[in-house]
Amino acid sequence: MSEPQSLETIVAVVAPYLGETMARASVSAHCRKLGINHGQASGPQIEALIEKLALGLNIFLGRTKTGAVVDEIRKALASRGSAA
Amino acid sequence: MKLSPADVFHGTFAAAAALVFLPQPFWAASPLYTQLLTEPVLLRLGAPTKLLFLFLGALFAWRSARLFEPGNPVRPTWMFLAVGITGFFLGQATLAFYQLVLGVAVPFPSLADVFFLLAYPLLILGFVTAILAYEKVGFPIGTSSERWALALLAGIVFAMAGVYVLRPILAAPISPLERFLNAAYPALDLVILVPVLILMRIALRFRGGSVVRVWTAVLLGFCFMCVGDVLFAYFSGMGQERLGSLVDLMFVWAYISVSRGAVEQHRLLTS
Repeated sequence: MSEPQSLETIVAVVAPYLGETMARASVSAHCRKLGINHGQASGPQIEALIEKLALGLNIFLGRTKTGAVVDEIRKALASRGSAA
Repeated sequence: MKLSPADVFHGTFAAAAALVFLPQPFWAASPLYTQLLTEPVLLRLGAPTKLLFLFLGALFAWRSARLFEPGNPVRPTWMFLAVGITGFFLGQATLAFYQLVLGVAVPFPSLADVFFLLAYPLLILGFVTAILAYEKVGFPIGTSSERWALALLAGIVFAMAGVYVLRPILAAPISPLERFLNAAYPALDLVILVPVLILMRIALRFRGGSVVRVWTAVLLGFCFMCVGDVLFAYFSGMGQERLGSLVDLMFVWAYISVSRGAVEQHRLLTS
């Protein structure tokens, strides 16, 4: 799976909570801060991005539900990775 | 958008309240309002409805606060909102005690005013801590200076509106305590509208997501509350008490909306 697709996968999982626009804006903003350019992210950068998004989700969903969403992101990334 | 059972429950009460209270000022002389939905009946419908939704709002705000783990930046937000809404519940319960149990006109000022006035600072703290939480977790919600500029602009506009709203109240031939309280409610409403406006702007950036439903409902509730307070001040000042059912409708909608937001937050945490 190409890296921009990883970011799309992450956006797709968090969009039902944050809305499509905020999900994309959040991923873009965190990518800039983490030095992810043109969607080219390493494994540790993706992990850091997920952690940053989890901090935001935590104020709406609480720790337990955020943990479940983070698991969902990881599963979606893994399944897409194995499908690619 | 799929409606949840909570949407249907709150929506049904909101629609029923509109059907009952909205036509009253216009058809006050009709048999519907002179024989069936008389003022005492409207009171018996309105007061328990307000209490029910304030109770639900306080309960679910408190349960949400407890579900957010210690250290979560919005835990204080929901605690302040829960205690603030409880203050409104106690205020309304005091009014209902005079009106429904004792069957007398509510004295002014009364114990209810103590509860209402204590609730405002807590609600303002709730909204301010929510804004700080959004900033802290790094959502792209604009810059801090943009929010300060909006607060300043809103503050100036509301201060000008406040002068207009408060002038007749301050000039009324009433006791200093009554004058203070009559002025305090619209003034506090205008103060609370500043963080409400900032939060509304932030919440709209989450449109399309489930989280936006929490804050739009809570904030819409406080907008209805402000409209209700301003209408009350004006109708009282103009001696148009017959328009009081519109004020009641604003408060019923306000409390339904706040309850809807708190229930939705709880559902997000537990579903």
